Amino acid sequence: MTASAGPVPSTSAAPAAGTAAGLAAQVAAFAGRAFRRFSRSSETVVNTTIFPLLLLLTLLAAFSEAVEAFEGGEYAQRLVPTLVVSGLMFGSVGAAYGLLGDLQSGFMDRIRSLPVAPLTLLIGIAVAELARALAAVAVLVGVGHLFGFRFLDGPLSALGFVAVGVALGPVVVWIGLSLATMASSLETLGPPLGAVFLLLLFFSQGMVPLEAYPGWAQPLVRVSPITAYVELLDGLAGGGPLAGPAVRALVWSVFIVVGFGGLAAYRLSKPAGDRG
Amino acid sequence: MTASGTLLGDGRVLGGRAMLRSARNPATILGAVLFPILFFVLFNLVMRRIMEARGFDYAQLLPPTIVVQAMFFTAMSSAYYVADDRRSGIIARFRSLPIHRSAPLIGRSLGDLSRATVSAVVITALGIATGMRFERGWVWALAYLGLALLFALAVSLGMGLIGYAAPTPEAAASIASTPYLPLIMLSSGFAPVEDFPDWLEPIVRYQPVSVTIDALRATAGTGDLGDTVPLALAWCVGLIIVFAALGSRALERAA
Repeated sequence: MTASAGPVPSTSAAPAAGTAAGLAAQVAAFAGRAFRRFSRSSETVVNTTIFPLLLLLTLLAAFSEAVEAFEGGEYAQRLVPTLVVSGLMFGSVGAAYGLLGDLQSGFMDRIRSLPVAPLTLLIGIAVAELARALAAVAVLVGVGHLFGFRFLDGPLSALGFVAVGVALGPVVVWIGLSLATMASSLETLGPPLGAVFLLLLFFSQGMVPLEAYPGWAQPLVRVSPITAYVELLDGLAGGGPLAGPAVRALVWSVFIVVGFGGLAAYRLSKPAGDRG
Repeated sequence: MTASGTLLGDGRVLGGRAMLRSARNPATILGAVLFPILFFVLFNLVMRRIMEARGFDYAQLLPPTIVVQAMFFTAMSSAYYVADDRRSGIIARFRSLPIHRSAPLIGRSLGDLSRATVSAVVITALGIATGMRFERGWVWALAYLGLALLFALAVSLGMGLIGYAAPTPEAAASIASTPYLPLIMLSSGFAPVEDFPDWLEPIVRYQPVSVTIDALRATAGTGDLGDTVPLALAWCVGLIIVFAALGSRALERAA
């Protein structure tokens, strides 16, 4: 890890640390570092492309007939947006592990001794998720096309689909980043994060329609952030309405970034010795 | 070799080591018990109505699937532990001791089976609480447990091989989590075999995970015992022989 840690912004060449330009330079440097780190990790490549693809193909093979008999639509049309979102969630575990490594290896302590805002490290990691999200969207849309997924609403909506999918990368990653500031080891980070993402995925309309859920679960499913994201992507791909899901997706995104980002910032503001 | 101890005696001691190691690692317990419970609840939540509309009785048919899934989860830790033992050098240390040379393999398997037992019993209890019934009586319920553990042994021996091949424990854990997904999704576990694309159906029907799930269901009362149990035994025993042979070879070669 130390070998691929990449350059830290040099204090002499960078703009003054506190200015907007200075902060932007710090974020850019950390984003570049995060990008190089995950693009060199075969695990991230597997988590971002192969795992969602495997999930798409196996879910299609197993459940197409049953779900299509239940609701009548093309299952791939529902699944591709879902797996974009789930791929971003489960793929962000790598970013969370990376941050945990930075906190435990002393890299973060080194950052604290520099005229750099510690939070820019996290923001950099989040920005780098844009690239991972783009890869995930491209692969899923491409393969989904072979199995019946279509953009029915023209190139502009298709572009919107890609833009929204990519923009969600730096949003959902904050859940993992904030948990990483609270975890003491990979064992206390990975499983809880996996459990949270599984719950989010299953309590949504991502895999099956709302009517398939028992009555008590339906209100939860309806307000779920994943439902909002999937409905928005689904709408852009040519299905349903856009305005409602867009508002809910925006509200959830602000909530996730501010809530989990704030939590992470609060944890980082404490000296290293005080962190769990 | 002549001065070395007995296979079972040394295996038991190393088995104790493996069980302590599992019991003291919260992540292992989570993988063995909590995640299967989560999958059990979530699949019931999401798919029960859709599958029951197709005459696929989830209350009775899902618990064996989740038991098999849990056996995968418990076995995955094995890949990590083997790679960790290689890194720490304890495998080399074992070899310098007067113990039976296959004892580490037996010890690890005992540890894996202890986790698998806890996991299978918990999931099945949960299944019974949500409507599953052992319609053939308690003797066949024991056979159900025995078959689940036989499958667990086969998978954990296979996962151990990943531990010998992978460069680091983290890589081992990551590789070990990959084969399980297609094997369980493309099985009779969550959807009826007839629902799969025609060209895929024969593979889905006869791959070891489907065969084991079908046999577990038969011991609980759904399906024919003669059609399923011998096939499942053949798969599991065959895999155990192959993986154990490869495993003891890998153990001897391990650095």
